[in-house]
Amino acid sequence: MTTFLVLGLLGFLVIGVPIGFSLLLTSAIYLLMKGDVSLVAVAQRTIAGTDQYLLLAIPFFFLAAELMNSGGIMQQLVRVAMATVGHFRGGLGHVSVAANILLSGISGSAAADAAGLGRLQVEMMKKGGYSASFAAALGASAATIGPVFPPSIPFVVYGGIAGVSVGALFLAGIVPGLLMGVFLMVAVWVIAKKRNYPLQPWMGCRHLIRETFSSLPILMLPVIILGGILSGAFTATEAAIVAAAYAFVVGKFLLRTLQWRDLYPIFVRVGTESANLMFIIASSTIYTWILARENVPQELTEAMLSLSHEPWVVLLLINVLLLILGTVLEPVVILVLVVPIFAPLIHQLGIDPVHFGVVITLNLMIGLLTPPMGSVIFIMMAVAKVSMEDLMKECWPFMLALTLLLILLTYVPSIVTFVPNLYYGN
Amino acid sequence: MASEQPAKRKDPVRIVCEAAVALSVMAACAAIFAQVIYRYVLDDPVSWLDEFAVFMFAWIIMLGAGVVQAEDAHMQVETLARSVGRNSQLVLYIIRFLGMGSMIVLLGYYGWFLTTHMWFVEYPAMEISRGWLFVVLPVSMPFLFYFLVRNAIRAMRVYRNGGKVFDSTHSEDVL
Repeated sequence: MTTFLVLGLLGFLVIGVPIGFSLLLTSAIYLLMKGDVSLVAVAQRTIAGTDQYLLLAIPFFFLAAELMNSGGIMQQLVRVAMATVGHFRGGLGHVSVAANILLSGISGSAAADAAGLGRLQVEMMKKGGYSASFAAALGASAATIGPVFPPSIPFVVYGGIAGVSVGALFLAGIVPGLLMGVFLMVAVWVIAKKRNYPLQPWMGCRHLIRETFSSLPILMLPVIILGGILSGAFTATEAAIVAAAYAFVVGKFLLRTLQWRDLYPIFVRVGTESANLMFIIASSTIYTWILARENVPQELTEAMLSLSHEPWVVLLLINVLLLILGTVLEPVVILVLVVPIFAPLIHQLGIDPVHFGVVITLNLMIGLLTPPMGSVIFIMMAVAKVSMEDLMKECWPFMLALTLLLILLTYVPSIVTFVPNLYYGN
Repeated sequence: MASEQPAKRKDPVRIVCEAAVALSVMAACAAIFAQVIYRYVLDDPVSWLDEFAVFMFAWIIMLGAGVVQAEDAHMQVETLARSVGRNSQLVLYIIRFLGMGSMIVLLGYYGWFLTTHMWFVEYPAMEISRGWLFVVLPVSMPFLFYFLVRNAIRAMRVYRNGGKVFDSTHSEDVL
């Protein structure tokens, strides 16, 4: 029966049945075959999957990002990035990475970052003498910083499933998010030196301060979210709505680019984007309930422990498995399926769930760069009008850089847990 | 002079569905924002506001799933389905249609069953029946079914004109 649960789901996914419906179909057929539980459980569990206060933060984070984006913040962020790192070798490549780090403090979604910033990045780099495929590959790689640097939608999902503090996860994502930027910038620097990409002039400290100051209202958003949660003032959900309210005030009254008539389509988009994600999470509730009923997590734990009791070996196996799964499945699907299964194993081996959450998210972000399911790859292909072959040729150094970082973060957990431990204590 | 193309009329069912989603998002936002004001400004939290926001969340998800279905944009793995021939695609599309259709009917039917059987259970703070939560399924599933059938008709037109049915879908990733 466990084999059916795995193969049935894969079968439905492969023939193009949407992920949420594949989960429901597999579960319903399983219940019919077993015959000991009524099909009413499918509807009951699906509704129970929507009944989660923490996950309500997801639409509010989407709303904050939408309100900020409609305020035309992209050019502003690029100007700050240009003033900060534009003068290094391969300057516009560094600008692309730095702009993504700044944007990741607002959106928390790789696809949104690639779609929002991608066109601007590609146009800017093409004008600066870079190839479209290099610009697209870098844009796609840099967009994966979004879900690791706080605020992060996958961290909210992981926190909800694994019962881990979202505040701790957000704090744990700061250093890895910045390191992603550093690793990508090193890769850009090496390539730029080899290809002799042009240097931009240093515009001076005064210019940097002026640009930073003019972008301060935008850059304050992640501070409000993190500050609100960490000070204990707000829950993650409340912090998200306060961030949305702040984004509205900035867009409407400070930048004056947000119109009242923009609000209705924004609310529709936020509801639709949230539903696309949450429908899968709600549908997975019955599937993971069946997995638990079939003792799959325990069996998998025993199987893994029979191979090794060493946490480093288990983490290696999990990382390899997730990298393979990441090539064919969406990150959210892997999160909702894998986290409940691996949670007992992680607990038994004494691995910090906050550390595991960051490692798993970074791993899944590398999956976003690998065909056939690398969604940011497809977005950047469309934006830059380049073939997948050309883009992938340029992408491998960045994937290598991120994989090296994944290995580093997996085996040096203190890099991840240092900041949350500093705040919360051990 | 080129004649002006008349603007394409939006499906009225979709307009209703989108309006319901927008209202649900607004209601959830208003509830949580009001809670922030009550809790941190007035120091008098209102317990039913959180409950109401989560209640609206279910409506956002299920009605929003309808709008996603209207765009045929539910997240899916289409690589294999897109790579096969035109006739094989049609077979896969029909299996997909039947699978999705059966789940929509199942959720709608058992959603109504739960609505009627759980009507006596109340939300502790809002003091309204939990049936109002389960009724989201029989209300939203007809929207999904309508858009599923409409998309299938569009796909059949694409097939009749010599195209591939999976070219009429477009999945999205939000992460």
